[in-house]
Amino acid sequence: MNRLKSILGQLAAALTVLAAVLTPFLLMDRFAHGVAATGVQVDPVYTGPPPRFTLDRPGYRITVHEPLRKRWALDRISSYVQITWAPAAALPPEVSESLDLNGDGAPDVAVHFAIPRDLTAALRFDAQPLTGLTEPVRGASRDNFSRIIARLGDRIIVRIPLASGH
Amino acid sequence: MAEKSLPAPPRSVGRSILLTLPVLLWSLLMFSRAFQMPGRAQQLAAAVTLVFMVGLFFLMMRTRETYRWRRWFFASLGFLFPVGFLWQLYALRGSMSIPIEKMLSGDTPFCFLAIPMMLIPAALTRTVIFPGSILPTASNPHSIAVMVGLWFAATLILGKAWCAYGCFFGGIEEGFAAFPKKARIKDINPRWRWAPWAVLAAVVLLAGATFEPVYCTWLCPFKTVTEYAEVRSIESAIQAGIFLSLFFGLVVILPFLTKKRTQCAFLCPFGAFQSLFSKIHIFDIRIQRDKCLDCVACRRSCPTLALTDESVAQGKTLLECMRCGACVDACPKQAAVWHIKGTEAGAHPERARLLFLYGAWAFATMFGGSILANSLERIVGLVM
Amino acid sequence: MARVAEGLFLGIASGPACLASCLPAVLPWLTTQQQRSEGPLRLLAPFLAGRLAGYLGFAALAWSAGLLIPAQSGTRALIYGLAHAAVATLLILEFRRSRHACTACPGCGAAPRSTRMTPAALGLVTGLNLCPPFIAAAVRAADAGSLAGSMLFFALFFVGTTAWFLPLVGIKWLPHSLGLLTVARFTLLLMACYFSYLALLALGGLLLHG
Repeated sequence: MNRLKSILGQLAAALTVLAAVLTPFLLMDRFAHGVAATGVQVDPVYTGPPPRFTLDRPGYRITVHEPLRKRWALDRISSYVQITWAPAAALPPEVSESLDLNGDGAPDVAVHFAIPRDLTAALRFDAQPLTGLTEPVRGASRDNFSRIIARLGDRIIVRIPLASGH
Repeated sequence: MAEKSLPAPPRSVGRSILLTLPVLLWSLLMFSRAFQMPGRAQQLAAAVTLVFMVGLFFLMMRTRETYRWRRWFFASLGFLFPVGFLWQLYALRGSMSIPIEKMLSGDTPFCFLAIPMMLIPAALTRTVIFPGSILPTASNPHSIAVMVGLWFAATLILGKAWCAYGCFFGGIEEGFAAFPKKARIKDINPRWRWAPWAVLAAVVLLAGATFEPVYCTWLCPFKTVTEYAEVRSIESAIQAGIFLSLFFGLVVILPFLTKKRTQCAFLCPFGAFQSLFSKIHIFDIRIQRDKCLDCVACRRSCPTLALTDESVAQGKTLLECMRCGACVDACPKQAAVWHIKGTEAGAHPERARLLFLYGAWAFATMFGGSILANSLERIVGLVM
Repeated sequence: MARVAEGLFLGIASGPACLASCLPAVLPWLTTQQQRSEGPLRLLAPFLAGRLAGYLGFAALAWSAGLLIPAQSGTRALIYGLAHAAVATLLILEFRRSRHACTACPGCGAAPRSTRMTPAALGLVTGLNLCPPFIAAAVRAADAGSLAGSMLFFALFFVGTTAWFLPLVGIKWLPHSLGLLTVARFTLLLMACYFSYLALLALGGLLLHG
């Protein structure tokens, strides 16, 4: 029995050397694909919730995303709704839109922002609630993940916090 | 004063070269692509790294010692990693701070320290609470899947020994701990070694409750030498104050004063997490009680307090042992030996050491060696 | 009958969120207590009783106030702040109490027992989470035709969430050791720091912005 344990132990030890040799050629790739195959996604707090519906405008498109709601008690993210304008290059210098966020036909929020010529200049937006679905926002820039306007490549995303209870 | 038995004579040069040959071939394979690149800086950096890694392994074979040669590699990795990493950051965005746009785009390189915190949220909602990308992209090759895959492989090969052969952060502390000849602070309350477990429990539970990588946002001292979220509020300024204090306290000053890896021993939750795999890792260190003099040279030499009087009496190290070899090299009676689980302690210690080192050094060359070469390339490119 | 079932199912569905929110405070505290000779349910019962008291108290409040309290952000911030401050205080008290660990037998380290009030108080304040499922339950409870209906709804919500807490009795079978006690104590301290900070944020924000 002791001899068998000794042989198995040394075999396992040799296999770790084999694992080290195989890592850059096979193992790492397989493990990485295995992780991706689990279907895990990056938290939508960072990358944004999935799109809900799109609105066509001359030369560009507005995408209203599913709302992201606070999930746990200690979750420090406020519930928000994300709206994406793309392509950013096709947008007029000033954007003002009244948008229906929940598909009930009534506009819920009036969003306004200006696009400076200097691409590195900070963006700011205002959001005026029309139905009490969202919180009012004045001059917000990159406050936090729930209240932000940001240029990501050729898109401009705006996140507006939802009002309490929504 | 314990009477030191005669140390084993150095291995012959010929035999040492023979044992080093597999590592030489492996290193040539690992750096072959760099040698084919047109850039002189890249070729030179690869050559220097190859000679360095192979040379250190040769010295390990020749002298039959592990710790001090491994420490040269590890401290070099610790000091050079920030060079390459920060160089890249400044080239890409001119700053160490991560703009929120990068987080929203999933462009933050994934850090393995976040792995324990991901578990509960991933299990409950299949989401990863890290602002990276699942698959590699042109702007972010260090994606979540790639780095977690690498972690799986490292854990298979090294287990807790990741902390001694992989973790570039630990190399920084090891470097500062190596400077003084003697420790200024010698008596450390052994209860402090439980602190990383408490930090692990706290960050895992809080990450599950807040869906935030709490250790990364609040405690990680290594943001000082990598990247950190933009300081845009009082909260982020407090966070910056905390990580700077932890870095200078636990990574610079205390290692210098104690000659221990104090951040690893008293804070790092990832080290505690990796310690869980010590139980299943096939290699460990044993103390042969029939040879042991209870001189506690092993306990004093351990950089992470992984030996106590009780564990030495039981003939083994604690879960926190990172297989650095310090205790084996320090033991005057060669009672502390490398060991393969299932075999008799002391039966074939050198075989156990060799098998362990082949795997560990192969990983170290692939992972740490590539980081070294990348950083050296930046420096050489600057000079040439 | 449908309302009864709704409360229970909402509780079961919300259980993971409740557990995840309570664990940071409850698990380290429970671990300092696990080395007593009491049965596992006797460790958990006062805590669950405190949670139930919190739920029923809130049910009464939700029904009588017509759900104004959870909706007003100022009042929510006040409840959050006070609850988090209370959690932090209880955890620090437990940290200090568990300092006097028994060392009579080697490797024992059993901590002095908390009074029955401490776990009940911890249950009460962690129960007042005001997390989205809790608010949803409060909305439904406020629609109940009577106070008894509101309290019944929340009682069943409590039963549904409690199912997820029962595995915590497994803590009892963890090995008795000074190491585990030390880890639990350090964790209590870290959690107390975090909850103190949350309390400061909530109450400070209320003071500054009203």
